[in-house]
Amino acid sequence: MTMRPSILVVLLVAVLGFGVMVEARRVAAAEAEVARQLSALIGTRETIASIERHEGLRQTVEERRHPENDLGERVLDALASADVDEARFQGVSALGDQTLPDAGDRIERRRQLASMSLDQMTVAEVGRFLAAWRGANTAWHADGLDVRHTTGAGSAARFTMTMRVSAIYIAGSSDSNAEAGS
Amino acid sequence: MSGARMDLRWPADRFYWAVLDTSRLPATTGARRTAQLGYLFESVLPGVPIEAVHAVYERLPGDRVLACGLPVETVAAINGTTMTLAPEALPDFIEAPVSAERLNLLSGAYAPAGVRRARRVTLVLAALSLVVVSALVVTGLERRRAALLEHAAALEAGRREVILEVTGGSSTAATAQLALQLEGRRRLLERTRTIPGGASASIGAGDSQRGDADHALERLIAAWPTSATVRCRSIEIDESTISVVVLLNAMADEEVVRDALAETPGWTLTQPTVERRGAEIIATLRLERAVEENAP
Repeated sequence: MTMRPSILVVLLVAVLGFGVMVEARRVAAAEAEVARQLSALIGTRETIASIERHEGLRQTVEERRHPENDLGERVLDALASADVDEARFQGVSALGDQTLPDAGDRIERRRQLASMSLDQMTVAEVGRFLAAWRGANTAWHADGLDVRHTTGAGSAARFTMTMRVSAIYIAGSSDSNAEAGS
Repeated sequence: MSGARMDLRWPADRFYWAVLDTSRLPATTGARRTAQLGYLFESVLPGVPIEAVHAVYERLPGDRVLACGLPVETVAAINGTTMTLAPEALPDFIEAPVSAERLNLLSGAYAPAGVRRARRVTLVLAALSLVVVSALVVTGLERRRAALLEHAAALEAGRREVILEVTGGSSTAATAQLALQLEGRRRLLERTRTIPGGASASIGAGDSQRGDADHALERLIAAWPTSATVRCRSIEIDESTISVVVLLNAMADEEVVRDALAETPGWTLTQPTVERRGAEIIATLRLERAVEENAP
């Protein structure tokens, strides 16, 4: 049985057309991939710009809840930075944890409260320590200060300083959950 | 005959002729149409089966078709060098706006070998051209696709490099994973850094006085009297009050202390109390946070 030439031509056109169509679809898919990658790159650059913008801002909220040990290290860092003897540090104690009202952004925030004591501090050391603490721990606020004279007079006067601090942290982060469970 | 090309023109009376009424034929085309016209033509042939006649047909106005035929053996006997075979003119009894030249009997199966060969060559060349053009198109598309994929890969590599610069993450991690880390970093920063008017700034609204005890102490010490001998016993600072207990050398120093601490910015001094305990003169001063005029 022989086929008519016109049928052969139609079949040939169909086969070749199908091949071209398949290839065109592959090209379209590649174009879509380029568009997707370009969009992702633009999005990434915007994300990085946002990160750089935020990194220049003052930290007001802690990323996670800080255990007492961590807070103690922060105090020691501030003492070292203020050139105050670490032996002044008497310790940190947790004062509790408060739930904060929703700020309307569906992020659960809590406030952690703590107290720290420094002994035998001069007035100058108190000033230097507070400046160092404030500079390094922008999310921590000094809610209360209790400075009591212990010994000496004049520039040699020594004081015991107790500072109550608080910081807001994001309760939903995995870090804080892990710590809460520990 | 004309020139090298053999074109036969025979008298009309050597052909079978008919004008066929096709108004009742179903609308078909191609070989089926030719077969239907053949059966119509056969009905007017003088005892000759249509299989023994090679006919050509020419459409006429008004559902009519002009049929012109020759016995098959006559057509088959035509010399192979003859290109066309047509009547010299239409017979007198047929009035149709058709040129006799168009009724070429050397057609279809009886087309000259040269014509059939030329048609085959044309068809093969057309098919080859189609294949070549298609191959060129596919090759071009494939090259474009390869270039696009290369571009996409370069974009992804660039994105990955940018992310790694920021995150310092593992270079073996997938780009999507790195992007997720980056997004996580951005979200965390958005939640923990102050943006004027943003959500973080609104946290703690209502307790704006909270957390500046260190500033209060700073202001108090800046206002501390230097002209009198004052020994500090204690300073207590909370959100709304500062309590100061000092030892004085003389009752008159109380006024100096009071005047000095009254200058503490942002705080208002209330009536101090002074008491003598043995040899010590103890003054207790209380400052309250001043109400801001533009406070809500």
